[in-house]
Amino acid sequence: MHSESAIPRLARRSARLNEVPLLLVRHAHAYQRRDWTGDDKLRPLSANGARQAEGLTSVARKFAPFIKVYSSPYLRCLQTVQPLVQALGVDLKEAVELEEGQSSAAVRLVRSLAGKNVVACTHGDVIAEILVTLADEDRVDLGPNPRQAKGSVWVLDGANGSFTSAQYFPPVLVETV
Amino acid sequence: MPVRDDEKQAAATLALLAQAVDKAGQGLVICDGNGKVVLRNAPARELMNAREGDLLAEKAVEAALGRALAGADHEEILDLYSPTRHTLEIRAFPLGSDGAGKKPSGAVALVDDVSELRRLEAVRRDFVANLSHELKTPLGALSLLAETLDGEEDPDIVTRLTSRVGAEARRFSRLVDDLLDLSRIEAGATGELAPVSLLAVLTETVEAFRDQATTLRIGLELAPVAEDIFVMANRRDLSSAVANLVDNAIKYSEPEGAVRVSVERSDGRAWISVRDQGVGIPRRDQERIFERFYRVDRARSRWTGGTGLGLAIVRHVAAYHGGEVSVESVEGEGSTFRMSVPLATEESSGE
Repeated sequence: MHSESAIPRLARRSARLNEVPLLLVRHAHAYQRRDWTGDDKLRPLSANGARQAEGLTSVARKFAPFIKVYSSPYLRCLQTVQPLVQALGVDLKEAVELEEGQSSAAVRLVRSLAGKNVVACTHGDVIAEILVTLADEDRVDLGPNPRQAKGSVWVLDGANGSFTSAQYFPPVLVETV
Repeated sequence: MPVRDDEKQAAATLALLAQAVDKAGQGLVICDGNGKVVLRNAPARELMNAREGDLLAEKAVEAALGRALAGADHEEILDLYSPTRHTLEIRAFPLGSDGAGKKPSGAVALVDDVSELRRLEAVRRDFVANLSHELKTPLGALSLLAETLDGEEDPDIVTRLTSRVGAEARRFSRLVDDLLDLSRIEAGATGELAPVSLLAVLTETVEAFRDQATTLRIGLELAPVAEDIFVMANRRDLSSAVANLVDNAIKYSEPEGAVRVSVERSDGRAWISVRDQGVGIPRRDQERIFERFYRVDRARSRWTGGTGLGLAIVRHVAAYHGGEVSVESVEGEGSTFRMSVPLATEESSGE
């Protein structure tokens, strides 16, 4: 039996059968900048971040199979999607459009992926830019108090260069072995 | 004879009653216990005047009376699509029934044309949905940016994000200002109209946008005016309307384009024109750009920081001044907005 909230969601999905979810992931928790003396692009995930990265696989699995995983080339992003890439056996592509500080290039990339079942992992500032653009231009409803914790996922439903809905999944912690 | 007087009195009362129900705003149809219509007031005759689509209304009223005669109240909404689209609300009640199983001795049907009410309800619903989205978006942006800023240590990123927070806050503030303006004007709280020098309003407005136009490399000029023109206006609202038109003209111009503001006198009115050589407005959108929150290009509007209310404000200002606003535009060539305002009489202009 369907739950009350599932019925309208299923009805909405069936009305837009050609739509495919795209998973927009904020990289998991990393070492603090002040604790890292090397190149910021090589700053790795913290132990907590590693557990979030494992947890991401359990959220993403619900929306699999994916045709590709796109990631900012920064190590903290690559490490966030690494367990998912291995567990689901998906190709990984590094995308400079998803680097920190990107805005319109990142929006263009995500729009070009609308309707493709992919994962895109990037940084907080880029996610804010993408979500606000989609709220403005595509009238996507982000809910009353949108969040984007590290290691969280926004599932964006869309097709043909635009998106119609967005749903937030907070980070899940899974113990690494 | 007393009986005859009573009959006369009753007939006179009935005649008065029939006239009175003709004056009612809603259609009223009464039938006897056998379903035979014994009274149909003027609005009912008008609402169900046997035009082709209205046969459906006639049948619906008959059916409603039939149900009422069976002892039950009845209510329905009837959408008609021909000859014109309209919506009727039909309510029917039994008459002369004591509620204890006695057959009604008649029934009454009340018919209202609720088309306009429905249209206004739909406009209101759309407005509330749009408004809610427009208010939520900058607030959502602030929420997302705040979470990104939290714990951020890179000063460059902090500076960039802080600037975005400022931009979203200003956007929210502009939206609230425009909403308050629109709501004040729509509520009719516009104050007295007085003679206003158009030359002063136009000069001030053009000068207020001079820096913005220069930064964007757009030429902005006020066409020479041989003689000042005085109009009956609320100066603040008139300035706000002209400013909205000039602001739009600049925002939708390409670098090296030109915006020209001019005014002429014709038919007892002043006609203010704001012409640009910008991107233009597709024909299909020209009718709708004065609607609240209607945007031709949402991406461009996002970057230019428009609230989606500017042209709605212009339209309302023009309307309450007894003027109008219109647009002529060719895509890729530019747009010309023309707004008219009644001239002040010579006496009231104090000349």
